[in-house]
Amino acid sequence: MIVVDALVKEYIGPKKQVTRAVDGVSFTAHQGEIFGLLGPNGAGKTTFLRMLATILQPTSGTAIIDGSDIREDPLGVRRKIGFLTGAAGLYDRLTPIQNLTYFGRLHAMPDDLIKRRIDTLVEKLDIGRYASRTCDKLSTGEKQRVAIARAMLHDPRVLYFDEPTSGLDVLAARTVMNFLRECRAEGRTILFSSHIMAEVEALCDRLTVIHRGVVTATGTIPELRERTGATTLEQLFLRCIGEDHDSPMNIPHPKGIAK
Amino acid sequence: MSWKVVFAKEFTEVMRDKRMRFQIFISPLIITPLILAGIGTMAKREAKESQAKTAVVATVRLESAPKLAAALQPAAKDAMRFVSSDEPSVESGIRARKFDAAIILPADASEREENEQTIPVQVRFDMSNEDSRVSGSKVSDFLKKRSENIGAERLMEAGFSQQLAKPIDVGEVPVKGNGGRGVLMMSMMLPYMLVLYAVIGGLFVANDSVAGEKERGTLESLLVTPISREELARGKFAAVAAAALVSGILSLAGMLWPFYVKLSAFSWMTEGGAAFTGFQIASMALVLVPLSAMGAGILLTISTIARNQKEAQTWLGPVMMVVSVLSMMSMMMRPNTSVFVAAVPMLGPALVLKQALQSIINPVFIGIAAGTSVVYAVLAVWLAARMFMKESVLLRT
Repeated sequence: MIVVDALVKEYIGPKKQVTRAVDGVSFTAHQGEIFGLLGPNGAGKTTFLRMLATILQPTSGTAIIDGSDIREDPLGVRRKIGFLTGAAGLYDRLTPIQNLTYFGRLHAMPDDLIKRRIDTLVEKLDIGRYASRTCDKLSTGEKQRVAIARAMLHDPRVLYFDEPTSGLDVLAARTVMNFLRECRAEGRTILFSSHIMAEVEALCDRLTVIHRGVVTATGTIPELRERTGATTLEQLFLRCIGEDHDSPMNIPHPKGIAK
Repeated sequence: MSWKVVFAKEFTEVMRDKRMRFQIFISPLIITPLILAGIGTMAKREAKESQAKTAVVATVRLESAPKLAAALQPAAKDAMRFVSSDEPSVESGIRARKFDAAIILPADASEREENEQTIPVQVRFDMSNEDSRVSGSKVSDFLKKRSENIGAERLMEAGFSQQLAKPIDVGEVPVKGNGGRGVLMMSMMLPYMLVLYAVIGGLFVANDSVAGEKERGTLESLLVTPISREELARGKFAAVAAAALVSGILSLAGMLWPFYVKLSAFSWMTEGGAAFTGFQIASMALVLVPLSAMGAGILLTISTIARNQKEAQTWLGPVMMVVSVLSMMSMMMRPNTSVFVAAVPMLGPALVLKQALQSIINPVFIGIAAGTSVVYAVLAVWLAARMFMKESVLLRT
């Protein structure tokens, strides 16, 4: 389970000006749920996910990830999470097996367990054909499968997906989508950040819309449709961020921030 | 001990990258000595050709001293060809490379020869022209030798022993044990090269290990693993420092193996042999280790600050300049200079290396150079670690 409580991230610019990239975000994502994080570019989604992954330190507020506080026990949080982005982020000069072994060791897993987990994931994700080739020789789709295996290696209960299908072809994107469904079926908690409406509609049980660092709406898709009167998901999204200019159903920005 | 995992992975990657293998292993061990061999062989051949070349020597008023002229012409054989000229044309002729050198006799040369007086002979040559400089020196030596012979003949004619003209016979015998000309030359070049390799030997590894990770998008995956940033920084630092140290040690080995493998290409520097004691090697190691650590700290700091490898290389330009200038200064300085110089980063260690190669033992100098190098290394490592902890720096993309 993920419980986010009034999370804030401020950046101080070169002229000491303060920018709030994330401004008091709160929500709860339950076990066995795919929770969508929707927002336009620059909304603060990546900063938010980086805080939940303890890569960035929050300015205020906190989040509890499967019982571990991101401020008090960042290493504990990292043991429980798997992180997947659109960029596979693999070491090109190493093979998939070497990449996975390296990350397994960083998770302090014993070598025999690493081997067992790699064998399982290699078979499940069909990596065997290229498992011993260096990653610079793999296609984007093949790399993304290895990245999925890396995210799952330590069997995390919580998974963050930050636009995991960006730049992928249809086949590779389908692999990621199927994998997400399997994770939900296994009872894992999943945070799914995207701006591809079709994916959000197909996968998310609930979602929250973030705009300029602030949560503007949270709920299931039918709930949000009812609230905004939107007929399409695109219309729903635009009304949630107050950008469907001629509609009286636009949700006003909670902080009243002018465009 | 997760830093060991990071270190092992970084080194595996180094071993797989041709560019890094070349910089750390091949360049110091093979390429540098081969360049030296090439330079030495070329310089030796040039010197030989220059010596063997028939020098065109302009003469002014040589005909007014017929005895001298008669003595010079046959003795010169193929080494010199005399061409009669006049004083105003000599300088322009040498500048235009028509003549290699010139012999100018005074206006009263004839009178002086008849009276068996000393004839002041001027040898002119161009210092900026290698051929002219060699020819000028050759002509001078030749004239001095002829002068000695003429003097000896005159003494004999007068019934004296010719040894009267040569009260001292000088013989030069170089001492053995400290190596020869090669060791002297090495003591000029090696400190510069060793410092350079030790400080920047880890350049590619450092660039790849943080700026490269940012560029390839692997850093984020690494930062979500349960390894502390301190451990991560330690592992990366160890990899860069190891690369720099290996590179430094191999550059030393690269300069030493020609002394033990008798190849003709290296004869110019190895003919006098080399003798290195345990103390010399220990004092070199004493400064090389902190120097590598300092270099690794500096390189890792730059790599952490930079957004990508290209930016890191731009930042490295001024650093390389400072390292080169400071270590190059050791070439021009006496090895046993003021102990205060020992505290200058890069220069102090370079002079310790120079002392070691010239068999000079100065414990105070070594102590200050090694001690201050450790301090600089600690500062550089502290700075690198500090940068690594700053999210605004580490996540700059």
